[in-house]
Amino acid sequence: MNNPYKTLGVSEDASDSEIRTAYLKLVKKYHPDRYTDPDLKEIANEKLIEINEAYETLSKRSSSANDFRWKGEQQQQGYSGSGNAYSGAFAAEFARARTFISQNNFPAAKAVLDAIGLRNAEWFYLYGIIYLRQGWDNKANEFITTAYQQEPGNPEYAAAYNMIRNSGNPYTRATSSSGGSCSSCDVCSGLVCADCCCECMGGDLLRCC
Amino acid sequence: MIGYVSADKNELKVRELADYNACYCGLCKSISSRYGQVARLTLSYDCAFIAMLVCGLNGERAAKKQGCVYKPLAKKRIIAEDSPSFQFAADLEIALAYYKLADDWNDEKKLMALFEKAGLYASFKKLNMLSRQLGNIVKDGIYALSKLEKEKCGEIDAVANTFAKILGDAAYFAPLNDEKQKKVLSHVLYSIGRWVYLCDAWDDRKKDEKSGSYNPFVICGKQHDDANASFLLNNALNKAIDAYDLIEIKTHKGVLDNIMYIGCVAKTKEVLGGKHEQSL
Repeated sequence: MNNPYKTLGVSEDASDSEIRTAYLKLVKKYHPDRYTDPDLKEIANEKLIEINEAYETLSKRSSSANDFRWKGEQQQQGYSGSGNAYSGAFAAEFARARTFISQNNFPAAKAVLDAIGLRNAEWFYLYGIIYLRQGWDNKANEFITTAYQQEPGNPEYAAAYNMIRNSGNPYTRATSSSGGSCSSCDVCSGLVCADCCCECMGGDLLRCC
Repeated sequence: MIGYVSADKNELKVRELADYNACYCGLCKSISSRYGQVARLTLSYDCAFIAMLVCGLNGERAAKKQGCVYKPLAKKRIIAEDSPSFQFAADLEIALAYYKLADDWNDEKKLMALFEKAGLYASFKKLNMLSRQLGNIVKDGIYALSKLEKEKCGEIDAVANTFAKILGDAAYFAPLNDEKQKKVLSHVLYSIGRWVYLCDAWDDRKKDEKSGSYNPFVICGKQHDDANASFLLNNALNKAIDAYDLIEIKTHKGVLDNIMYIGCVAKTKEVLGGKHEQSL
């Protein structure tokens, strides 16, 4: 096994809380739910296992860190072929399409779906998932949004909808390099605020506004 | 590809900037030693990124002081030493440049493209000798793309992914020993390719609308408003970042992190019309 300190990216004299912070950050970073591609999911999973082992080793070493332990919680709800019990029209076809999708056989799944005359939320959802797995994110977005709008109460559609919505948000990351968070904008808006306060009290800080 | 994938130099440390410049010059040198002086003009930051990524995976950091033919009066500078990683990026650069020009000439009869293509012809011959398979991947990809463009394909996913696939497939020719890392690299380059294509298309949509050139955003104009473009660009970049997080980089990490987490994010904002906030 690799050096657990190195795996977690902490120094050997790091405190328990530092180790835990680093650990939680890495768990978030390598969470398999970030990945739709099976290959990447697997690699992320391996990383996670490595990180868990490292953390476990370190928490065994120090007696005080026993309160928290990763339980190997499998949050991989991902996509399972037999998840939904279908009823209603075209139940057998939808179940078959799901099985094909879980086997990564997208042309077959598409053929099954194309043969269905009904355009309900499930149809849009499954088609959206096929597009998502093929990297057609524009189409996936369109179809999954339609599914969600038709049936907002369905947790599966809602989860997929939120996932794809979030994937289109601008990337943000707390950059450790830029220490102060006070930009020139903040300074100006702060001054304007201060000016308003002064004016309320009868004074004036900035004469121009 | 024209410089979309580049670092935000304001956020680089001084030594990281030196590292970035050394690799940029290193790629230029590598191109010149493989393909001659004219080919150096194709140099781009995008391929410098690819070169650094492959070097980073292989843990290369060798550099030495060298002079530059293009700047004979300048002092000698630190330049990364040539290696298979740089050669791979150089081959990719030449292949992309040559087939892009060939495509421009065939489709739009741009005279400049013909001249530039003629200038690169010797390099192209060399490419066929040195790295034919990589050349063929790029050729097939650009032809497939050009076919879709001629058909006025309205599916933006199809067009963008055809371009993305060129880079994704090219990654398998990178000089890496670890097959798993090669796979991750392929995913990074695939998503970066998609992002670059979408950025380029969104950036050029007004120009293309005027000139009547193909542009997926123009073809299905109503469907693609600002919100949709923002979704597409950010989605592609986020996927690239997700894949990049799985890569095990040994060297050049500072610069590469900057490019992925800061440079490209800022570029996306800029392309989408937001003003690029310069850090003070």
